[in-house]
Amino acid sequence: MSLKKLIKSSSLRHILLTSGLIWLLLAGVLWLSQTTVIEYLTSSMEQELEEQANELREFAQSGAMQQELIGEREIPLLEMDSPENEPLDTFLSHYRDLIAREKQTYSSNPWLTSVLEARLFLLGYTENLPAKTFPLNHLTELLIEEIPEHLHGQLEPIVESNMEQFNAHYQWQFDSLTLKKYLLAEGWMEQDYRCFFLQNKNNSLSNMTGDIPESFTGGYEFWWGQIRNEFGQTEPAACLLHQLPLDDQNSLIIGQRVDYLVELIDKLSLMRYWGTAAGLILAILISVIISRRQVNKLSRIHKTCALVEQGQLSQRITVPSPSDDYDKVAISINQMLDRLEKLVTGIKYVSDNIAHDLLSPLTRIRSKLDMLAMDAPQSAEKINHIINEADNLLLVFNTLLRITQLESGSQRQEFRPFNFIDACADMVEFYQPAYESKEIQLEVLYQKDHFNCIGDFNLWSQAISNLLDNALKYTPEGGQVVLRVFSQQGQLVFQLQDSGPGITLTDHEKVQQRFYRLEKNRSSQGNGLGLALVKAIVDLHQARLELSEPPGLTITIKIPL
Amino acid sequence: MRILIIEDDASVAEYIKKGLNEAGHVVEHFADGKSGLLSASTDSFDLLIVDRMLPHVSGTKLVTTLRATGDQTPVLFLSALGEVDQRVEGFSVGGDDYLVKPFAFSELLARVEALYRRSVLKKSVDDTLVVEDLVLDPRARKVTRNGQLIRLQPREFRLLEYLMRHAGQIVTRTMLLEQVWDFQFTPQTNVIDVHISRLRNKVDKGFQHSLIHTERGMGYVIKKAH
Repeated sequence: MSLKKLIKSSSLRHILLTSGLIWLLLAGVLWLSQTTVIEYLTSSMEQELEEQANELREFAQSGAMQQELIGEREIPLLEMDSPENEPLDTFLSHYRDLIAREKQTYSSNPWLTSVLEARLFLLGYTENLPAKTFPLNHLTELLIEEIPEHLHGQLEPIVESNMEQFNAHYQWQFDSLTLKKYLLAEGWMEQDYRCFFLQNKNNSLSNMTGDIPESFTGGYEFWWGQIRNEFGQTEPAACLLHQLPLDDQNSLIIGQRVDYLVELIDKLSLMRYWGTAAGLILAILISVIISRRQVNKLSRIHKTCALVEQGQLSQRITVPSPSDDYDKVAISINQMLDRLEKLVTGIKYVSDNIAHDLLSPLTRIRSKLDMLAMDAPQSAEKINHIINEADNLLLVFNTLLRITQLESGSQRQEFRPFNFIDACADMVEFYQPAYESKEIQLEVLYQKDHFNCIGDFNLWSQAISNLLDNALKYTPEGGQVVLRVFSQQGQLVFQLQDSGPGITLTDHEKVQQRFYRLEKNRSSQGNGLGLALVKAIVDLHQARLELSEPPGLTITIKIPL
Repeated sequence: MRILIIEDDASVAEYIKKGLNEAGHVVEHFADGKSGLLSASTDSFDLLIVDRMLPHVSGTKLVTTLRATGDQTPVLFLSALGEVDQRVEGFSVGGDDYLVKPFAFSELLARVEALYRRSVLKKSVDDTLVVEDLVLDPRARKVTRNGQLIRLQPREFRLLEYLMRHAGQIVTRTMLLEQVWDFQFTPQTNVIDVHISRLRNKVDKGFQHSLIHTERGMGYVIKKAH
């Protein structure tokens, strides 16, 4: 199945369609899977950032951030020796006494005093709230150590509610000032696995350099810029940023390094391009393979039909295992060919039998007439006229048979290569004296001495002979006849032009039929089959026969080379 | 001549037999291939006339077998099938001539006598041909009559040569078409008459006796005038 034939065939549409669909499918799958992967990774990062942000906010608004910033100032532990399983009231009274004593001792130390007061607050013995900057959390931790374990359960709720009161009173904010201290304290500036930008009018804090996005669609944005790393140097980075509004109209932008993700996306994009290209090739291959079977089937059908058209009537399309519509068509065609072969063979059989069965009686008639002429010489002349009629009848008969046989096409198997000019030259030479005796000028123009063509030499000789005969018959004395042979557009052209009466356009079709004779010519010699035989020979060779309009007649035969 | 006819059609056989007898030949007849082959191989004949379609053994098979035994008797095929390839087949199995039915008896007779003469006389192709004062030298390709050189075109020369090789015998138009022009079909045969008349113009005109004669209804012959 040559490439050229493939391109010309209508199966190309089939292949293009199939490969287009397959390719779209592959490309779609590829694109979808990549998008899904990237989406998944991005959304899990977004979730993490969200959690981080919420954690920070809660941390700040619970006061824990501020407390942490306050740091640990030295708070001495109140040591008490409590007996085991001391009841609560007893313990508390001892505890309070101790606190009172300590207060007296350290009355000049405001810090220590405040610590003792805070203890009382936590236990609910005073309404005085400790200062905002007091490390109450830390104190709570100390209390856990100072209070015996078996009393923890009872005191915990009290301490907690007082803590809450403390926090509620001060309304801890998620603000930029606190955050700035916090971030600095936590060393965020030295961290290169995350990026942040704390917006605070002229007092921003950030480890990012480059353009910071103004707007965030959906709260998240990808950012490419520079980050300061732990060594103080800047390095290029890619981050996924999330913006949180702070309670004081400022905002904090936090982000995660996504360099690896960007790399992944780039690689995936590259893969996508190559994958698409490969997919296209793959798609074409697959569809060619799929279509190949169909195309092969079609070409088998076409080849067989071409062979049959050339006369090999016994050719059939091979159908190894009937499965699809093409096979059904092939089987139908085979059945048609069976019928065709039968018909043509039938015709051959009939005409061969006619040749034997009908010719025999005719032959007998003729031979009996011949014998009669021998026996009765006085009537010989009259009998010879009858014999002439019988001979004419036989000639018509034979010519008819020949025409039918030629139309069946089986003669094509006898085609051989030969020089067309040889056939012309033989006939011209034969007819020359006859033309001369009628004083008709016969001019012969061959473009070349050699015109190779493939066909039946004898049939063409007969055709040329018939045409020359007609021209001789219908051209008046002193007329001109020109015979030309030349090539034109890949065809061999034979042209015979005479100066006779010609044939009008309306008669062109009819004269090529059997037995048709133009009214004006009915009297002249001939049986009306000459041109019909020429037509049959022309058709057999798949050539064309053209007639011209009067004046004169030019017969043109175009033979494909 | 002793002639053997192998033909299954009784009336055709009758027709041929009668005509040949009247022409002075002795004729034997068999109606099927087997007995015909037997007779041909055991008896000697000067000529065989064999029909292609025969019962038992076909005409072509018969001739093939005969030739295989070394028998060189001239064979004339008769057949209802006249296609070129069938004629070629007839010659390729060893036939010497091929005549399509129906035929005029005169045609058959002319060919039979031509065949016989060819086989009997066995003249060399190069020998000079002479009819009265007309001399044709095939090797020099020269024709003279009464010492005068006659200029002929190639085809005219061939035509004259053929007539002279069969001098005294009737040569039919069909024979001329086949042998001189090598046509495998028959165009309008009266075109040949024109060729003959042109030849006559060159060979007979101006000389005392005409040598080329027309036998009406049969053909042409070149012979001494009586």
